[in-house]
Amino acid sequence: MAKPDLREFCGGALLTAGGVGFAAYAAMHYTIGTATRMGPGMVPVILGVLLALFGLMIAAGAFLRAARMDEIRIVVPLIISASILAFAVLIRPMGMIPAVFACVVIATLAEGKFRPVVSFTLAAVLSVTAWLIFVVLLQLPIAMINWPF
Amino acid sequence: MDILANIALGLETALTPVNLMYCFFGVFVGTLIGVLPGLGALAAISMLFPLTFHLEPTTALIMLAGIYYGTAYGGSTASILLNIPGTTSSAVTCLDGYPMAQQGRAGAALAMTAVGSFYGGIFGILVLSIFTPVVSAWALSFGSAEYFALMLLGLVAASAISDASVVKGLAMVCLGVLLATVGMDPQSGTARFTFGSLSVLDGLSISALAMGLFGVSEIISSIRRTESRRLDPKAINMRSLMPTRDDFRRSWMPMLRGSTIGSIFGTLPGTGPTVAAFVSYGLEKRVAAEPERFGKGAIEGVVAPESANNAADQTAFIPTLSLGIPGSATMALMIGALMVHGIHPGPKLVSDHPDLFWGLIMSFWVGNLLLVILNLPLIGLWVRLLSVPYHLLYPAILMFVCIGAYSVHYSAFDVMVVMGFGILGYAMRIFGMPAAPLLLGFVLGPLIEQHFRRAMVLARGDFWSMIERPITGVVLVITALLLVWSIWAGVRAQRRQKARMALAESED
Repeated sequence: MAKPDLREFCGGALLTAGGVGFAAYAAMHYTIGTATRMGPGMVPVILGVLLALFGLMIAAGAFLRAARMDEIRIVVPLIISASILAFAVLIRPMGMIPAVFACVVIATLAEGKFRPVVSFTLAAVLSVTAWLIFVVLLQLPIAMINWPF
Repeated sequence: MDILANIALGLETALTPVNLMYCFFGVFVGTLIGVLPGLGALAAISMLFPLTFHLEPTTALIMLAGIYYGTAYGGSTASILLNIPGTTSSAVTCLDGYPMAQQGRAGAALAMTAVGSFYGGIFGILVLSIFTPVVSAWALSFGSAEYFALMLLGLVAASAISDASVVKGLAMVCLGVLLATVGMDPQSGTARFTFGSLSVLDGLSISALAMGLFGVSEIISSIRRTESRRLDPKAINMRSLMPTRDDFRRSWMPMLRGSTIGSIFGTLPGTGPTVAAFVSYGLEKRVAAEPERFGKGAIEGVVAPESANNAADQTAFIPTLSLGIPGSATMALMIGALMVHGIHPGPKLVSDHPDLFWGLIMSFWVGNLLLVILNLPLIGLWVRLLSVPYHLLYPAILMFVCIGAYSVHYSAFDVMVVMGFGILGYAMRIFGMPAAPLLLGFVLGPLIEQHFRRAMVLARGDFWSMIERPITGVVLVITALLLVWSIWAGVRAQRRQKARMALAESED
């Protein structure tokens, strides 16, 4: 008997949990209705139950086959998320150039080493590109720099 | 004379300076992204999707479609020169394209690819312009039950044919439809899964979902893994750009067969250009007089799959435009682009928006022509682009994603939704869950729910009476058969893999 595939099992279990969550929340908060006159809760409940069932099937399948999958990255997704988050936080109060700078400089950290010259040059070049494409060419009303202070 | 008037209307639309410019822009960006390994048509379209909010619907679709078939052209360039498929649909082209490049015949291979792709594209366009109005006319009599059945078939087919297991595909479809229920329920006005937030009352944005699932998660898993590649200098010898007369003599039948196969697989839900390319390569090898030439630089092995995938790219629009049912995630994004502008694709599209339909088709001709002009002289530029290091590329992609997501509603919240879907997309990769069925479920979700509820009202809550409608019944039976077949095929593949594993263990 092969060792159960732990990752596959977790994936299935997470889907089951998600399905149960959706179905339970919909069942508690929205009208289910009848088969003829369905309420807003009916379809989410059906789908949540289906998702939970598929999750169970995937989790059960984990006992039938062995693992062969990619490494799991932790740091890279965090840095990329931080880079997008920085953009989202800065774009309104500070404007596009600071947001692009923060986004690009943080994103380059995902390479594993910090090369300030490369990062800042790239950020500068991309800021100009963004200005040319989005403001000059497409004429979107996005402020370049805001001073909230 | 009807058809001539339609063609004239289409050309009039396609040749306006604005549409022409965006068509050019689309195929140019498409080729560019197709050439860059690791970025496929889906990532490209989802990155540029926000731009379409600011364009006329016809122009938007012309641009998106240009990106779509442009990537197929660009992908083959990377396949031939580097033995790395730029897109999955041109993976087969590596088999014989790269050996040709090694023999110093890269130029001929690229030129014949352009010819084959052009031929396949034109063939697909013809099929498209003949069959879409026919299917539309037939579909006018469809009620909610028929639509529900057809959409279900599309969703099941998409999960059955994705490379992961069918259960995972179906689970992702369910998740996609569930995510689509977030927001206001159009029939009762109830806000669902909004948790009191006003930002999601209109639902989650399709562009944020696509960019997160296909763009951001792709970046996360490619960083530090994608290296820029050195080119074999022998491979880019352009002196032999002209194919020989022998190449042409060998190619015209494979092109015809490839285009036919491509046209068929393009229309079927769940299949599409990649399957079409593989099938046509297999067929060429089987009918060839000397099958041993394949894999060693046979021109037939390059032109047949290339004409097949381009034909399939075009005919994939038949179900999309005539029924409003996308067969693939890319087509789902096309429908999304139309819905953003309040156009619901369906049987009335051809008659209600003839300028859109015929303009789009005519733009395919123009775009395919532009691609031939663009590809042959610019091969040198594409080759140089291949050596742009990834560590400079991905921050740029990330920036475009952020600004793109922001520019749709000028909302920072949308940018955070992109981040959320990026994390979800990466988690799905870790667990081996396919992303395309999720997107398909997300786009079809509101429609399938609406049709399901309406059909059940008309059937007075009796599901079985729905099956007694002939078309609905037949489609639902096909769906069930497909489901049984794919589960059976999956079990068989798993058993074979287990046997192989057991063998490997006993050898240790």
